[in-house]
Amino acid sequence: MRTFAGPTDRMNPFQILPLASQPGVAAYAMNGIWRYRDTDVVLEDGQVVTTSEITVGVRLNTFPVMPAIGDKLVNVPLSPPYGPIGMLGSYLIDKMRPDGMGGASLLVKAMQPVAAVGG
Amino acid sequence: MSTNALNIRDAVFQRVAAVKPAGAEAWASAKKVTVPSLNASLFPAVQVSLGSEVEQSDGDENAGGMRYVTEVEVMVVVERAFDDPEALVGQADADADAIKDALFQDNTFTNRIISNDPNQTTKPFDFEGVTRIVTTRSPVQGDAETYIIQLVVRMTFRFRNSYEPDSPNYLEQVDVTLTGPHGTQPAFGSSVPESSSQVGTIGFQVTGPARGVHGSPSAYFIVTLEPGASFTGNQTITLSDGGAGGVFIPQYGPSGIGSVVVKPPNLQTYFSFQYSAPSAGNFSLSLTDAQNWNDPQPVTFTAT
Repeated sequence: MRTFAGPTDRMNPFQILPLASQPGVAAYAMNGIWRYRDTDVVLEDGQVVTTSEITVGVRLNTFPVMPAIGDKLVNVPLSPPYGPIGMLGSYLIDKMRPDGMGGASLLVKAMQPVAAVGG
Repeated sequence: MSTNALNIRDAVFQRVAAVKPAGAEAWASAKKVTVPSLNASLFPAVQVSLGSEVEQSDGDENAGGMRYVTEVEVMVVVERAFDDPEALVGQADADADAIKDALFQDNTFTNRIISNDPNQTTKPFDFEGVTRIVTTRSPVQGDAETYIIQLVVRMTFRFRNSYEPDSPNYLEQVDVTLTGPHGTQPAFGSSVPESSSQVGTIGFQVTGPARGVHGSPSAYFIVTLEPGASFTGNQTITLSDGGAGGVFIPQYGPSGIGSVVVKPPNLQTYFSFQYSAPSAGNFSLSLTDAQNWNDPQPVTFTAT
């Protein structure tokens, strides 16, 4: 069972797979500050899903090409509250929020995690 | 909610919980109620719950007991996540197909009798049909940790429901006092015990389909008493195919092979039945009463 909880901030390495910004280009390493914020979303029939908003704070000048919505963050080593230890997370960039000072928050959506090789 | 509605909900849940969701071995969560609060760790989740139950009058409100045609909405709700939106839509569509196949391809669910049950026992639930199926899938808006999609399959089941009076109030005895010329009392008796609607010889008729498919319940035959007459609750009519071995499925009481005795409740003026022929051919269906009424001519039913 996944144990997502928050809020918590941490520096965490990951790779960018630029599916939208540079189609066909291989994944490259990147760093960012990950943040979880508890939130609720309401479904069509009124049910409430207790969930979290996941954002990754990045410096845009560290990217060779501006990331874009549709790029993936891959090979993210997971640990609580982000996911179970020993798994690698994968996230899709859903929104970008530039802060006007050279940084941006990437709002990401989790995909099904996979087991880390040798992990 | 009525007991039959709850039993239909349980039967749906039993079958849907066994469905293998798209892209997973089993549901991470399966519940018979709508859970007010969910967590993505419970996905893929399935919930089977009852929506509205509507009872509408079945026939003449001024005659007989309280009878209703009932429509109950059963909702199957699926939530899934942790994939990209296009994949989630495809998985939800596959779930919808699998759920409907699991329900409507299962003849132990859809048939009114269980053909492989040697005792022809009555199922704990009964419905005449599923009159409406509405399938919707809604991507969830909001800054959740993952993309979420909700699939809702709303099915409307129709069945008939009646409320029999606790204390029958039909007329059992009539006192008749006849006054002779100039106020003298007549010489003959003044008390005439009779059932209310069984004075004299009652006629009844049967209408129904002339053709059907063998092995499947036919369309409905309707047996109707003559105008003004009604059953008292202890009268019977025997349906028979002369030993051909077909299955009678009456509105009241259990099914029977070859013949069945039907005892309609008090104040009813008619009842229905279905016939499942054992093979192709012509079958003569007779109706015989136990009250010395006028029986109708046997009807011929042709099965293909």
